[in-house]
Amino acid sequence: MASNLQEQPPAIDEEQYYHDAQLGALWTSSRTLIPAVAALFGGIYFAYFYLRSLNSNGMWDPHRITASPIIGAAIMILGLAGMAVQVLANRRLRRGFTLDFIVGSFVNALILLIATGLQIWMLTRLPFPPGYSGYSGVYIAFAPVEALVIFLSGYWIFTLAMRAVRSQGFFRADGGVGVSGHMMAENFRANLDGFTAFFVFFALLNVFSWYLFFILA
Amino acid sequence: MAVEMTPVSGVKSPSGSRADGLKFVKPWFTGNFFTALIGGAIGYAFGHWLGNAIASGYTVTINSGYNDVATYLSLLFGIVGWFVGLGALNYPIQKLLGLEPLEPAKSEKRTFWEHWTYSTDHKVVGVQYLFGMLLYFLVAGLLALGIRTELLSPTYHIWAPETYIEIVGEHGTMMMMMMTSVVMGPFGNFLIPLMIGSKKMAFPRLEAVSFWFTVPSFLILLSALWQGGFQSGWTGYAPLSIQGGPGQSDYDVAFMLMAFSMILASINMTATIINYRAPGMRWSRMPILAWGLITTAFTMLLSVPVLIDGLYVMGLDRAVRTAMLYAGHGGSSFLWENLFWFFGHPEVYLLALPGFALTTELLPVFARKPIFAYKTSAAGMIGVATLSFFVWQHHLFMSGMNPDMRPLFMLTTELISIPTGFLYLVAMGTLWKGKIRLEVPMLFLLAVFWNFLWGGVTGVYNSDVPVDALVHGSFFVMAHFHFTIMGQLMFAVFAGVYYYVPLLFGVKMNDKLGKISFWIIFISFNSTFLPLFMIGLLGQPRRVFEYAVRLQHLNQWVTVSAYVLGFGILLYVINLVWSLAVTRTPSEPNPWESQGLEWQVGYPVPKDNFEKIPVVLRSPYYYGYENPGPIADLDPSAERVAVVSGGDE
Repeated sequence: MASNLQEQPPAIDEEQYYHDAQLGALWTSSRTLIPAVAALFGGIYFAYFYLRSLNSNGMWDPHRITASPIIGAAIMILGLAGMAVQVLANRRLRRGFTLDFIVGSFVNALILLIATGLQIWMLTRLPFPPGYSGYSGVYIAFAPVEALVIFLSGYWIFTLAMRAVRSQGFFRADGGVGVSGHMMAENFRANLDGFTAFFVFFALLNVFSWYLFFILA
Repeated sequence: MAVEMTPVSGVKSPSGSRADGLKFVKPWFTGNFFTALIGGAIGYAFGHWLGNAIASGYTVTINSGYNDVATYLSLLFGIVGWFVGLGALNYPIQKLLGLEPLEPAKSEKRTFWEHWTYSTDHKVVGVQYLFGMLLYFLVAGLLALGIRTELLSPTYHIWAPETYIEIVGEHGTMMMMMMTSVVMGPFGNFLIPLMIGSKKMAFPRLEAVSFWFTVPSFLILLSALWQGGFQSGWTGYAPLSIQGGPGQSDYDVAFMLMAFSMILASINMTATIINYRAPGMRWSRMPILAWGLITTAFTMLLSVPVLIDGLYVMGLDRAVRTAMLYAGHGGSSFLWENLFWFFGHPEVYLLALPGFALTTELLPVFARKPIFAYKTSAAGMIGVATLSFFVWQHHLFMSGMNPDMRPLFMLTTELISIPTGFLYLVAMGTLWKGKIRLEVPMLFLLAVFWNFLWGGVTGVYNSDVPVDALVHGSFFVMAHFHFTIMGQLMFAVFAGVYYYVPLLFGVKMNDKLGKISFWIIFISFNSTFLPLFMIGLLGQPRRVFEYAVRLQHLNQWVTVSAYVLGFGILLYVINLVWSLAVTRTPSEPNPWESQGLEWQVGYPVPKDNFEKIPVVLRSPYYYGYENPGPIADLDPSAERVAVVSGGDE
C-alpha cells in the first residue's frame, strides 16, 4: 500500500490494492479447484472401490477385461510429459526466455489435445459394451470426465500461451512477461502458477487413475 | 479448467499497449434473458435432432419408444445455446485468442431492464438471485399446497397416484435443490462486498454465470411435470431413477446445473472473502454472515462434486446403458445412495448454516447487544461444516447398511448437535438482557429459534437407530426437516429480506402488513407441521396418497393450516411487491440503526460501493457501547492507513 502525502492523499493505492487482491484471488481459486476436482474424481474412485468390493453377482469384472492398457498408459505418460514440459517452460520464463515458454506451453497444449483425442478414441473401441460389468460402467464414467479435464487444462494453458504471444512485444523492454514488474505480468504469472499447481496435481492423479483402471483392476 | 483471469482492477488499458499488441477488448455481444431463451431453444432443437440421428435405431429406443440420448443431448445443447444467447461465451473465446476482455461498465443507477441481462455487477446479480429464488420458492410452495389438497381425504382423490408422486418429487427437489442458494445468492452477492469493504467481487463473471445456471435449472425441472415427472422423488433412488421416463432426465440435468451454480458461486465467494477484505477487516472483525458463507462455500466445494458424480452415473445408466446402479450386471443401487447422501447430508447444513449466519448477523441489531461469544459462533459453523461430512450414512440406517456401522454414524450424527448447540446458545446469549426491539425482522428471528428447537430436538431422536427404525419414511421425519429447514432457513430469509429491502431498494415494507403476515405465517406454520409429528408417529408414511381413515381429521387440520400458511406467505410477498412497485415509501438511510459497514454507504449504493477503500476500525457489533466510534473510516488518511496496516487495534 503506497501513500502520497504531498497532494490529495490517495491513502490507499487502490490500483495496487485490488491488484494484490486479484493475485490472491487467483491463488485461492486455483488451489480450491484442486480439492474440488479431487472430490469429483474421488466420487468415481469411490464407485470403483465400492462396486469392486461388492462384486455383485460376481460381475465386477468377470473375465478381467480392461480398456486398452496401451492407450491408457499413453494417456498417463502424456500427462506426465506435459507436466515436465510445462515445468521446464515455466523455468525458462522466469529467466526471461518468453519464446521458450511460449513454445513449451503450446507443446503442452498439443500434448493435452492428443491425450484428449486418445481418451475419446479409446472410448470408441472398448472391448466391452457399457453394461457388461461393474468395471465397464465405472471406466465409461471415468473416461469422459478425464477427457474433459484434460481438454480444459489444455484450454487453460493455451489461453496463457496466447496471452504471452500477444504481450511479448509489450514486455520485451521490461525483460519479458516472466520477470517484468508490470501488474499485467504479475497477474499473468499468478495465473500460470495456479495452472501449474493444478496441473501437477492432475498429472499425479492421472497416475493413480491409470493404476486403478489398468493395474489393480 | 479455466479460471477467470481478467485483471478486474488496477490494470488499465494503456493506449501504448494496444500498439504493442496487448489488445483490450469489449464483449462482442451482450445478451439477456430473451436472447438466452432463443439460443436455448435452437440448441435444444439441434440436440434433439442429433440424439435422434444417433440413437433412434437402437433396439432399446425402438422397444421403449423413448430416446434417452435425444433427451440428454437436447438439454445439453440447450444449455450451451442458453449461454451463447446470454453472451457468456464471449469471455472464454476472447481468452482463447489471447485478448484481454475489459470489465463491463457498471451503471450509476440500476435499471429494471438491467436485471434481465447478463450483468456482472454484484448488486444486480444479488437482486436477480433474490427474485429468482422467491419465484422458485413460491412455485415449490404451490406444489406443496397441491400435496396437501390431495391429503384432505383418504378416499376421495384429486390427483392420480402417479401425479401425486410427481408433485411430491417436484416440490421436494425444487425446495432442496434451488434453496441451497437462497442466502448465498441474494444476500451473499449483494452484501458481502459491502460488508467486507470491497468495491467488487473477485470473479464477477463466475458470479453472473452462477445465477444464470439457476434459471434453466428451474425451467428444466418444472418441465418434468408435463413429461411424466420423476417417480423417484427428490432423493432419486435407483432403480426407480434408472427406469423413469424423460422427467427423470430433467431431474438429472436440472440438479446438475444447480450443482455447477453452487460450485461457481462458492469459488467466487471464498476468493472474495479471503482476498478482498478492506484494511482492518480482520477475521475477528468479519461479519458473522461472511463466516457463515465462507464455511458454506467450502462445504459446497467438497460435497457438490460428489453429487455431480452421482447424477452423472445416473445419466450414464439411463442414456448409455451402463449398469453401475443395477446389481444384475455388477452395479449396486446403494452406490447412488452413498454418492447422493455424501452430498445430501452436508446439503442440509448448506441450507441451515447460512440461515444461522443470517440470523446471528441480524440478532444484535434488534437486541442492541454485541454477539455473545462471537468466536464460538464462528467455531460452531466450522464444526457443523466439518462434521457434516461424517454423518451421511445415517440415511442408510434402514436401507441395508452393515448393522455394525450404525453406532458409529449414530454417534457422529449426535455429535453434530454440539456445534449446532453453540450456534443456538450464542443466539440465546445475545438475547439475554438485551434491549429487544420487536420489529418485524426480529419477530421472524425469534421464530427461527422456536422452530429450530422442534427441528433440532427431534433430529437427535431421529439420529438414534431404534427411533429411526420406528419413524423412518414417516411424516415424523418430514415434520422434522420442515422445522429445521423451512422453520429455520426460510424464516431467516423472511427476516433478511424485510431487513435489507431499505438498503437494496431504498424503500421500507409496510410494518402493519409485515406483522400480520408474520403472525399468520408463524402460527400456521406450527399448526401445519406440529401435527405431522403425531401423524407420523401414528404410522402415516410419506409419499403415499392414501392413508388410514382414522387420521383424516388430523390431515384436514394440517391441510387447512397449510392453506393459511400459503396465504400468509402470499401476504408477505404482496407486501414486498406493493412496497416496491406501488407505495415506494422512502426509507431512512439506516432504519434499523445497524452498525454494519453495508449500511454506511446509503441508498442507492454507489456504483463502486465506496468512493475510497475504507479502513475498518472495529467489529460491527458494538451495540450498547456508549461511544463506539465509527465502524470504518470511509475517507481514510494516510496516517490511519499506516496505523491499521501496522496492526494496531
